[in-house]
Amino acid sequence: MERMREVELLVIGAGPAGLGAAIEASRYGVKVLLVDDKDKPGGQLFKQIHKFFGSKEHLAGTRGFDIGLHLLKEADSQGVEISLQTKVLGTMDKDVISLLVKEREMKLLKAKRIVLATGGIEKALSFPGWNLPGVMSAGAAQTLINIERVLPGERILMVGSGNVGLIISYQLLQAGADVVGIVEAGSSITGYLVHAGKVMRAGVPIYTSHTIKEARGGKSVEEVVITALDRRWNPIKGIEKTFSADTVCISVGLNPNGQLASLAGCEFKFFPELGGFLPLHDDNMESTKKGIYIAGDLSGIEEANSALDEGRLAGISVAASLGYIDSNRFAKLKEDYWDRLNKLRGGPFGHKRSIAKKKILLSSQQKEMRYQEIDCIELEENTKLKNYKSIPSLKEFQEFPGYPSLSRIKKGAVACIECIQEIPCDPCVAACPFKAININPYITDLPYLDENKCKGCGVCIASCPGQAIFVLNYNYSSEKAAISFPYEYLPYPKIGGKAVGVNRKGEPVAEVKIVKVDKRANFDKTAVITIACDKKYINQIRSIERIKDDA
Amino acid sequence: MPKDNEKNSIKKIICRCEEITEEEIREAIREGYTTIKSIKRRTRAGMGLCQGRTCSTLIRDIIAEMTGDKKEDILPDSVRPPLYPVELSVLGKKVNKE
Repeated sequence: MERMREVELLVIGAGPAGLGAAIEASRYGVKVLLVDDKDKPGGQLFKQIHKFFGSKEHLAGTRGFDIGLHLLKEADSQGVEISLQTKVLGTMDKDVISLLVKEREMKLLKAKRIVLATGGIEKALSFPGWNLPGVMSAGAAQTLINIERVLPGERILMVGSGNVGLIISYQLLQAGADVVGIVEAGSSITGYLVHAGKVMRAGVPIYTSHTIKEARGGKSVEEVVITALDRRWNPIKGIEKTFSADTVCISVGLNPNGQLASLAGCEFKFFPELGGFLPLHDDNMESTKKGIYIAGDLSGIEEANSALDEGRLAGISVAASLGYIDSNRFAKLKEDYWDRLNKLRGGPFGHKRSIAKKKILLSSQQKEMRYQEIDCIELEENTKLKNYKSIPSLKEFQEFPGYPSLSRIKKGAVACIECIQEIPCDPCVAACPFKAININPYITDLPYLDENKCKGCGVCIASCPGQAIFVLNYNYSSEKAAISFPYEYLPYPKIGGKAVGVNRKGEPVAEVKIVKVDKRANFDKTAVITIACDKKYINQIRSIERIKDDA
Repeated sequence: MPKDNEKNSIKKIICRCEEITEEEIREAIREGYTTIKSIKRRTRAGMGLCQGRTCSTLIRDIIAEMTGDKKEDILPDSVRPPLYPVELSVLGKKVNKE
């Protein structure tokens, strides 16, 4: 009789969490089989064409797909075996896992350890007309533009202003579509304001306290109706807007994809801050089912960097449990990963997730205790900053430590850092050759500009994943000031040509002249455009109207 | 809000795989089927190709709205293999114990 294959570690899902787990476990000698249902590994990473936030360890400032390539190389050099187009159908019998390969062949195997990295599923939103062609999840639109290179539509309404909704709106603009608006049911923009800033400068209106009421059309979406909401999220009668649109993208959060974990018998609990029902886990990422580990969005909806680090942590935990890492070494490695994860969950944006993660750990230690009873976990509210509902006024911007003083601006070229929320990100610090930018002591702290050290060279502009750095040169000529800003749309403006300078909300301010288009290779496809304008607009103009490719 | 909800619910589909409308879900809840599992058995919502991946959270929201139950107390449906559709011809083949 044939013997069934037994692997040491089966990792299910080849996104950042699964790749992280497979790479680390392999590094210490574990024989790993990594399976994924798609025809390419990388999960969502290869759809991410924007520069990532984070620290140097997280390759911050690198575009998502390049991080994906980097991980695949690492997996390859560690000898990870990857089986693609492989769906896990379930656990059939005792510890036997059934796989469906390329829809044609069923395979059974056993695994000593399993890491579930099955990711998240986008939440749906139902409204009249939501099943018309043209209504899709934001992730689907992102797959269409960035993987299939197909524009889902020309006029898009985005529902949801979280980071996913904001980033994908920006990418739809880059792909050549118009985004007619972003609606947000809450009273403030929920994603990072630097992401909101990118689409607002491109003229996209963000309607807070609004939701979609209806999508109408014959064979597909032709128009959409949005309605204002009161404080309790009830529609206010009579305050409606109708747009002509052919596409509606839904970006209202994700749920952990817990089907396999549920099948495996892991214990679940409800954590709304992390997306809903998810499997409990301990600080080794082991679920309540011995030998089954979880990581990434399955263990709570976060972002790619946290997923990767959780995966790496699960990988070393598996290696340690199989005797490949001694306990001292493991303790040290584990501490490092928790340190990195805690940094990523620092700041006001990570605050709720950080508390929820602590609840998960406590729940898994004391299973009889319900999480409501441990609500009293003390974690200081670690921000002194005001919570801005949308991008603030100029006066407020000028109070931030990255905004140069008026006297410094008048002296000549200087960086202007409009980074106003405590988010875990610091590539600007390393980018500055003059050490004029500091983020201290935490990675979530705001960047501080040492305006006397700053020479206004502008290398920081392209390094900022939030596109929040500008260079202001008040003394460009006797009449004109120059403003430099990042620009990631094609076609690029032509040097010597005219363009419409816009403010932070995308409103036209004045006609400007393009004086420089800097596309140097280490800017990694973020062009830095310099325009000349009247000196009085130095604190207003922050971009130009997108140049439409009408050729 | 409830009035508007009910008016719209007649034609609004919740489970796209099985084409179950919101009104059918609401009717089941009025009949006393107040869990995701029992609504699935009563209406077939969540029994289609995607196995409730899309509609189960929508159904949870409707149950919560109508019964006042907390969302965390409305449990997900039980999961059974196979997680993906498999052709019978594949199931019938001799399994390769790799």
